[in-house]
Amino acid sequence: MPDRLRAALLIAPALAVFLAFFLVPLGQLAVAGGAGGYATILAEPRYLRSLGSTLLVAAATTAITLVIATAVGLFLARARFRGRATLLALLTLPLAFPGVVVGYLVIMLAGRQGLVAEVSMALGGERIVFAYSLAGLLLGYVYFSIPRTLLTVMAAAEKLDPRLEEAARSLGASSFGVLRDVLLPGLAPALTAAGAICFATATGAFGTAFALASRIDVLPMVIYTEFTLQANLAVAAALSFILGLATWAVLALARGASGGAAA
Amino acid sequence: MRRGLGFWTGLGFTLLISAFLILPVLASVVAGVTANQFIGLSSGLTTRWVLEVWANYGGTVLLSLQIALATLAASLLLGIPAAYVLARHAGVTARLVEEALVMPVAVPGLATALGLILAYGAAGDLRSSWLFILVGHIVFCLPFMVRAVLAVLLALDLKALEDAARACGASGSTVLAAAASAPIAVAMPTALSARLRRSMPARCASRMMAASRATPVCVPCSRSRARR
Repeated sequence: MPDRLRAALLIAPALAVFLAFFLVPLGQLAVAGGAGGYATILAEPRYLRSLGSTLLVAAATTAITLVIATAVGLFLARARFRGRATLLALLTLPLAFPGVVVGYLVIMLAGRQGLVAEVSMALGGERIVFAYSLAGLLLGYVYFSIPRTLLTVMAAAEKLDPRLEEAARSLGASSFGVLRDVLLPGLAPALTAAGAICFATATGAFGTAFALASRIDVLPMVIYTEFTLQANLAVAAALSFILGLATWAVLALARGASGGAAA
Repeated sequence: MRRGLGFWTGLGFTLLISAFLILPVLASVVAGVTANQFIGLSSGLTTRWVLEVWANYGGTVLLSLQIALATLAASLLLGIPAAYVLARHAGVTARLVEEALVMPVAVPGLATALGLILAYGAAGDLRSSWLFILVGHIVFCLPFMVRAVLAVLLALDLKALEDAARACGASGSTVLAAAASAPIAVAMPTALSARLRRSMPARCASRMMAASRATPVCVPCSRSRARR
């Protein structure tokens, strides 16, 4: 059998699935919005507001997660101590949790009967509850993103040449100087890639918001409400298509910037 | 060895983050075996809730498992040949195909799910069948399978291995089976765990696509628990 024919036959099933169950549906989605759907979105401030808060939560998630993951990742990549492996196992355990479970864990943490509420009551203060708001959602997304980002940062930190850091120190650089001029530039591609994934997950994630409250006005929740409760297919389709396009664009840009490390 | 201030600050911060990740998990485990959640631990421990959940949702747990395994099987069958072809061919077409195959990762599940409903929701009983959910999961999982296998295949000289196998008298299909399957086996643990991890939980795709008859675990229970 000629090589080309064999290749075509081997790849055909995967391509068929991609065409039939991804490209065709996405095309349908783009068309189903119709001119009406897209016009409604532009005319209604509610949709633009939810798009805004979605992007805001996603950006905040990305920033917070990157700071935490960089600090923890750099520490774990260099320090050697007893219990390091256990600590790493604990930090990556949530990898297995889907968004809905993360939403439930946020309720355990910051809900009406949550740990934060119990502690704040025990300290004589008010019952602090913020699970069912944008803050709770942010907490959930950060929770979801930390393990993934941490693994990327650690992998990159272990590949950094320790001699660069030693050279900087011997030339008199402060700890902050080393971080700013040596470590962060070295980690930049990994941080861009991991940050893009954080952002994309937080814009599109649905389970966490769904578990927390239907009042949270982020785009995936709006799409779900429009589709199932209002049966407003055109708007739901148009919003989904915009969401898909935006997420894909962010990932594509980040991949260009990080030299192919992002998804 | 004496540890500096930097070490203790780093350790403290890392422990704090670990606590943030683990405490809610512990709290939910404790809540799951506490007799009365409103009274607290003093009401005693019980397995009653766990058993009740199993009685009520055992079927959905099994359905989730069934979907996960079916997704795994399908992405193995579709993904390995595709990755093999992509590894063997360096041309522009191959790169474009690779680009296309991993695209579903970059688009939120909600958008893909809505598209699937629009395209096929009206086709017969598909909407109320678990196969519809399976399709959604395969679309998501296939890119991960292709990438994991492709990465391993690219890391070694596949062509040289195949030429060696041919030189030793192996037939075309044996070459494919022997030379290509060993490295693929290396990639499997990663690919498999990623696969199960991704399809076990009911992702948003399922939620939107599911009719009441075929709803995997997580969806009903989390919804009712979130309300309390």
